[in-house]
Amino acid sequence: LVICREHLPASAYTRVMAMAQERKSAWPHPADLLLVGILWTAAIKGLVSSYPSARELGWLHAAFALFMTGVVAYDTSTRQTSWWSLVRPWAIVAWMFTLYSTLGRLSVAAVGDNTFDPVLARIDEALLGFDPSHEVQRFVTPRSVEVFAIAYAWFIPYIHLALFLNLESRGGENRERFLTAWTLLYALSFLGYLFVPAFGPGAFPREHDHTELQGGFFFQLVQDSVAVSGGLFGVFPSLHVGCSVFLCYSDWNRDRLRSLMYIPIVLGIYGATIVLRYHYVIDLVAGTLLAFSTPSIGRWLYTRWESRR
Amino acid sequence: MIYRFISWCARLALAVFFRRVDVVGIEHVPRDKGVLFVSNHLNAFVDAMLLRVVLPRPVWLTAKETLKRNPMMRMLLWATRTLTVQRREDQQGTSGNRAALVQLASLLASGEQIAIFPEGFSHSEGRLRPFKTGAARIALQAIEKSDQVVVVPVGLVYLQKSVFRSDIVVRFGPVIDVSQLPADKREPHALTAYFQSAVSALAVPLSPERSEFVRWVAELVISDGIVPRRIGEARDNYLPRYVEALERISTGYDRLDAGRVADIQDRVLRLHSLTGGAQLAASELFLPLSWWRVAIFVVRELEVLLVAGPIALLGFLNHLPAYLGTRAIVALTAKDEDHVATNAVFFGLPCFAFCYLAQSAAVAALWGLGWVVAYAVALPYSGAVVLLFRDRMMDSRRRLASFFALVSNRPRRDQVQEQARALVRDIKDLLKEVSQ
Repeated sequence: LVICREHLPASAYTRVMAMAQERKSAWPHPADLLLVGILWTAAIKGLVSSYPSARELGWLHAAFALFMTGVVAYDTSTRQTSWWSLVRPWAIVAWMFTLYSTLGRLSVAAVGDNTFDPVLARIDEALLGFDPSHEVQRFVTPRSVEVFAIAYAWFIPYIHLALFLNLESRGGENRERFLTAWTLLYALSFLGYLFVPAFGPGAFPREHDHTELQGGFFFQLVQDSVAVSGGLFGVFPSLHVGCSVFLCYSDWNRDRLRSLMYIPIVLGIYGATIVLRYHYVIDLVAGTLLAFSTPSIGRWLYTRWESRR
Repeated sequence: MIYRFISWCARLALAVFFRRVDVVGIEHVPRDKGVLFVSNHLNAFVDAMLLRVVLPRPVWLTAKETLKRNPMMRMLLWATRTLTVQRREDQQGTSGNRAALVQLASLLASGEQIAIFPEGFSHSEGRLRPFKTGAARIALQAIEKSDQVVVVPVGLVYLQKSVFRSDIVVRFGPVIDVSQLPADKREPHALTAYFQSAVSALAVPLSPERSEFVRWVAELVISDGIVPRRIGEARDNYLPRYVEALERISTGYDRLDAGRVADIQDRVLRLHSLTGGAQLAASELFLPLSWWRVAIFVVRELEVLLVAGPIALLGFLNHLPAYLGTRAIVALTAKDEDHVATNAVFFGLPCFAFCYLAQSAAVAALWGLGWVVAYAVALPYSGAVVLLFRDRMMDSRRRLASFFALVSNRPRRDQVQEQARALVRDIKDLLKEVSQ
């Protein structure tokens, strides 16, 4: 707290002091529980796999899980607010973004070639009567690929900025509720990644061959960034759609203009995931459902935890 | 069906013209009884539309008989469930009102809701006009027919009634059960006086010559020491608190002696001059100047400017013809301040609808029918964005002006805040004195 007083602006210091004086709960914060829960699930999933690469990643996640269990246990057992409570929002976001790569890689490593791509593709065809990523090829031009690549690339700055502004400007309970709901969204999506691993329509060989997509600078940028992050994994549900809809929806009652201005970005992301063949339609449906349901479930979880103080 | 459609149109038109409508005391309105709403009348037909929009159950309205002379108005009155009454001012006499009063009382007794404006006409006089006895007569007749009838006083508070994107607070008072009043009050004139005192406790009479000063002081009193909200975020309960402060200060203004009021006015003027003559909003006096908040402000507003700006530009260009058309019609037709909002709402709806149709037809002709759907969705969307963007940019500009006024005058900033706090303390003491 002395460091905080010296280095933080007065308003932030007041907020830190208020948090430090809060009465502690005997139960772990729901966001902490969700993080620890998903870490342990990933560790077990990797450790029980017959593939050595998955077991390696399983050990890595077991180490993560052990560390975080210790942190949360320490935070819950101390009488005073610990450093973890102060950094929780930022740390959980950092954890989830890290897990997006490591856990996705684990999930596909744990099943080898036996992914759920055929199942997801069949669901799409049952839902729509055709393969959407194949059908849209008729309308796709290098220019439209480039436009959708821009929309897809926009996702990264959009969610980082929107998350930062939400966590920074929401105070007290409002921020905790938001954090719990967002963590729940990611935790549930990661469960999907772990238990329904898939590569997406771009990598899944179909009876009808996809023609190669042609784009420009932004398309190349998107492809390079996917390759740098380890390739295609983490398909069901679509977190691109889930997170962008979640952020748009959670601003609706708070800052209507921001919510409205995000709508074209969100629609662009919906289109881009199909046109660029990163997701099946069912992934988008699942992501959308999660985005609309997690705010209220997260609020309920947090309120329940609050009532136990 | 027609009633619902008209209510929906009214809701849409009011949401466009006014920035925020806050409702206080709606819990006073019973859901299972006949309710007579007695309200002050400041903004012509907008008052009636407002009550219709904020009340969950359908409400019958009352209007002057002379409106029926216009066939268009006659149709509109029918569609909006509006009954007419005769007024003495219209040289009609009130002899024909007996049947109308009986009909209104029967409706009340059967559990319907009726809104009536006992002042008789809308005005901008800054105080309530004497109430006419019609409302009291209706209430007295209704309680003879049913014991399930109550009266709810309503105070409509417009912060700037003829200004586009201004705010409104609708205040519902506690229920008046006429049947439970003492016998001497259950007489038309006494009951009318009782209604008037109930409505005057909710309405905030602001005479035009002093409204600016009272507003500034009210804003100062409620923002005392509070860090201003972030631009764009909803201010929970701000408007009702602001209106309450307005009411208390306005009442204090009337009751205090002129010398003390003049002293406060002097101090407010001195405070203004201390900020370098900048017309600093009272709520921004306590703006913190930490680098962190400034950085966040810049990031947030820059993002809005870059992302929402192009959409707002599209919305601006799409809606400009309809907006200018409505403005021109309002300038030609509005006789006084009371009819600006009403005429804007009335003529704005067809103007914008026509504009939307014309643009969609043009798009269909140029690019084919497929694009019409996308364009038809984009029109209201870009319209909503341009409205919110306009509000936001005005707030941001005000915040920036306050920031620069405080930063450029750093040595005096503490002095300004200190004087503002002292002023608020003294005003609060005075108000306490008045209320005692």
